[in-house]
Amino acid sequence: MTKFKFSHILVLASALVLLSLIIRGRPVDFKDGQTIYNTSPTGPYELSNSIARYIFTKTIVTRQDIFLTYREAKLSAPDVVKFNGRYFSIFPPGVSFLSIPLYMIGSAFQLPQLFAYLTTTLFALLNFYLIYWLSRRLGLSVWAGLLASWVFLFATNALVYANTFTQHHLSTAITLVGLHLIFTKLHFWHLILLGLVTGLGLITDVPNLILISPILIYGFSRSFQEPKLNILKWTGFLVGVIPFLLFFLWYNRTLTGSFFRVPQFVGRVSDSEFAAVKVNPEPTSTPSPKKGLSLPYKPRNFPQGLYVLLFSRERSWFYYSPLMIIGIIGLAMALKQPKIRPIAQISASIITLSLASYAMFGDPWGGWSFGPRYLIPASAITSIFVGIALERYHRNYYFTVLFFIGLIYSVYVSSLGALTSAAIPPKQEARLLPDPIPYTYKYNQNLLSQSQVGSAIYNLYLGRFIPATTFHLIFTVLALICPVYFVLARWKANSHETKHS
Amino acid sequence: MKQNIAKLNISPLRIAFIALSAISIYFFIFFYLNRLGLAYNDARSHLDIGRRVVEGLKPGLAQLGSVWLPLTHLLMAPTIWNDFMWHSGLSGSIQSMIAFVATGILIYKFLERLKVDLFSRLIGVAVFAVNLNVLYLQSTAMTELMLLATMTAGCYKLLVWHQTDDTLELIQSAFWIMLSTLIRYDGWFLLFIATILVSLRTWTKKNYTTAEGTTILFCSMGGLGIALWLLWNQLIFKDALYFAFGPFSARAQQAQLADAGVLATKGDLALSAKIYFYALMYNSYTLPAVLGLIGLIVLLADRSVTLSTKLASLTLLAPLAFNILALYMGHSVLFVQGLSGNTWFNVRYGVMLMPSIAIFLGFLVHKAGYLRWTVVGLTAFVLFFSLANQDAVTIDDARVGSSQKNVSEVAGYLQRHASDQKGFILISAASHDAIIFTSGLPMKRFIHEGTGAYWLSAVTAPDRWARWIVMRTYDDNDMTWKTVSRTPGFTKYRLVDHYPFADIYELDSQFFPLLQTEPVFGQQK
Repeated sequence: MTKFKFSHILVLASALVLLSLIIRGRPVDFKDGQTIYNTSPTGPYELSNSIARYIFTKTIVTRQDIFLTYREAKLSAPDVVKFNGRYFSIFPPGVSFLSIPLYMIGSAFQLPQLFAYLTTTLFALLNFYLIYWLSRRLGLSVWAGLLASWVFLFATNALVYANTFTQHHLSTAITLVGLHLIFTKLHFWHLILLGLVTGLGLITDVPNLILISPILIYGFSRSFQEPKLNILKWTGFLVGVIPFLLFFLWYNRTLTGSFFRVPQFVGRVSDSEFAAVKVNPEPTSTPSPKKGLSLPYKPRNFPQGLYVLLFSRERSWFYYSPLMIIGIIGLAMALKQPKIRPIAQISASIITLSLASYAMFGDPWGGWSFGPRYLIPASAITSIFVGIALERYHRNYYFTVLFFIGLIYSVYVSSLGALTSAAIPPKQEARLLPDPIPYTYKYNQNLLSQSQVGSAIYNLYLGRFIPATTFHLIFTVLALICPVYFVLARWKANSHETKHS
Repeated sequence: MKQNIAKLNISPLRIAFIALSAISIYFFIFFYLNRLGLAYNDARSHLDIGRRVVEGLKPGLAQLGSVWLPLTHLLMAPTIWNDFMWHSGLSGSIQSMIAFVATGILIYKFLERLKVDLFSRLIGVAVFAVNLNVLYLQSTAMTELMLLATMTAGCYKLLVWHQTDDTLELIQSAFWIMLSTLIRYDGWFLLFIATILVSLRTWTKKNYTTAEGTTILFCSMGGLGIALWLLWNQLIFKDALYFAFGPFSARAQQAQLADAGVLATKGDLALSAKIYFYALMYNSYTLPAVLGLIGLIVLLADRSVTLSTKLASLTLLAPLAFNILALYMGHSVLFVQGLSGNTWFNVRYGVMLMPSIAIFLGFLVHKAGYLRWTVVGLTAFVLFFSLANQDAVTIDDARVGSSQKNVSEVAGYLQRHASDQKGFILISAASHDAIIFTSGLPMKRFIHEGTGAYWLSAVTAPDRWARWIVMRTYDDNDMTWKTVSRTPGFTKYRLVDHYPFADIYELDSQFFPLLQTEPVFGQQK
């Protein structure tokens, strides 16, 4: 098996360079210490969930508070909750809290937004490494491992969300770390770490608990099968998770008055809350939350959700990242290999649970977004199995050709989103707009042809020299060089092995 | 698992029986207490039909009518005389509840015949038993669960016959299918499919003569119910096909819908399939249906399962073909919210494949190997949320769709004004059975189409027979309006109240002395 060499560092450097090209920013976004919140398409504030989390970070740092002022709430709308006359973010606080250090560093340079958003980019890079690491643990060669990582970061919509202020890359990292940990010997400190990532998952996005549940169930079941893995060791897990759990309970209680009522259960403020002219006078009392159990996942939504996530032109996995089909083939192959079967089983559970939960979610589109953003953790895991399929079939020319066709298309689509906008409306909303816009990546193509690019480097420097479409083409080609190199290297290694044998 | 249960000296089947019974009773009480048990308009009509057999101005078997097949109404007869059993709906629910338990047991037995392990068998039973749509329908006086039980029993016995070649099993299969033909027309289609299978199997395995004899034997028992139904229609309505072409037939109702332009599925196979698939998905919560489909494919591809067993298992798909064909041919109507406007109607038909889904899913769990826990976990995940969110499309169908009728206002008027006053109420049972039921008044207070001489007299001279008339004004589909509004006696009535589903007219008090308030015709034939 090939060892890690200097050329591999070059690969990492290439990934870094490409990621730097997608960092968002236009001249207006850098003015006045980044205090102008321009929410137009292609900018860093185009996604409401990004700006809402960012404002929350700013509130924590500048005012040391978790409640928002009217102005902050207005900027964060519609991802804001109003309860007992006070405003707060609808999202769990994980991303906002984790980005505090970089926000503070960025503030020193008058670039708080740029640095805060880098938190996500760093997690994207971490995921790149984690996928490589897991691939190697599954017995893949360095090239196949790097290819799996590359596929995730550049051939899925993970690229688009690598410079947004959203939870997806953090959730992905949590899942991947959990997956890695559960297949170790599970020492006490491993379990503490597992508890920590579970807790972090909880405060980042509650559905992370669903994603990580197969990992925990499998780990716990190992306690009954392996004499050395004493069930008492799981106190380590509790040590890790309890601080986060207590923080989460305190956070909920402070905001909503109940330990177990997360802000999402209270619901967003009404559309008219921040309207210039209010239709109704402001209510004097807050309506009490609905009685009875009402969980966000409704099986009634399943048929539509499954269609949207798997087959629709609006968001589907297979439309935006057809390479994932190869990943599913790889997963099926992995299930047949006894050595890696457990990890394949857990991966299958996470992928299908992710799909099932968001198919039942009322908004499988994820609002205005690019591709199936909720499936980014599932894409990460599936990418590992793309590596397995490629390792198995790399000598098959038909397969390789199909792989490259899928790769070129997927990279082209993902880079469109990353370089322009991550805010594509669902079909229904797109058609109801005063000026209807496309509800697929055709919208991004339109933006590109109008030279509306989000890349800070392009907007500040390169835009003077090359048109936007050329920039996108260059980016796509650059993003394809590494995978081509990986496959060629694998072929070379293969022919080398054949000669020696 | 089997060993652990064996240690307890209790058979798994008995545990399943106890669990199914407990679930059944719990959910009946649950839906009884929240008053959803009688939300379906049809449930109230079924109970009224059963009640009219034993009580009313003209009780007797003729009250079974021709609108619906008679078995479930006949089975109500021993209990429906009791007011509590009638008005609680228990007289109808109790057979649904027994059918629920029986279907669960049959799923278990079917999977046992497919050599599925105990755990997977129990998962199959659980998929059926924790489906809230099934649980709701088993708590009501609807016919679905009885149909599921008899059809599944017929399929199960057919499978046993395929595997053992025991003629007694074939006769039992025919018997259960015969019962299903007396519940809903889905059973007729099953009989047709099963007959083809029986003929083909015997012909290919033995010879033509044996096939002929076996088919005749099977059809003699299986077709007995249909023959009796035709005979019944001939004797009572003087037309063997009255149920199919009569004024109250499904065909007549569908014709009205077609005239109104809402029978979109007629002649459109793709739309029929789409509508039914959506109903199926909503009733099964989608994932079990998807996994069940995979299970079916695995079953058909499994070399260890004999072709005969595979063919016998395919009878479980008869409801799928029947419902799509019925929609396509315009014999059935099904509205799915979002596809057929903003309403539901008959969406419960999607529940017909639940035993099949449970069986195929159980088989998948057995064969899933390394993905067994993934399949079980995913199914449990989806079913948990269906229960936690009380997501039941059948309840929506009953409460807010076209199947519901909030007749409490008009029934309340009758209760307040007629319960302690003498006099008959003239009403069309075909249009307003729900009002009759909800009023809480004895059946003998009502003159309806099934009361023979009372009805004929009342629609000719209403002022001599009916103190109150309940009908939809200006609607000729309402038999009472169609006949009474043209009589001179109708001028002696005044409109006393007006409601969304019906208006109430009361005879002017000056004509009370001439009004007949007691039954006078005695025993009518």
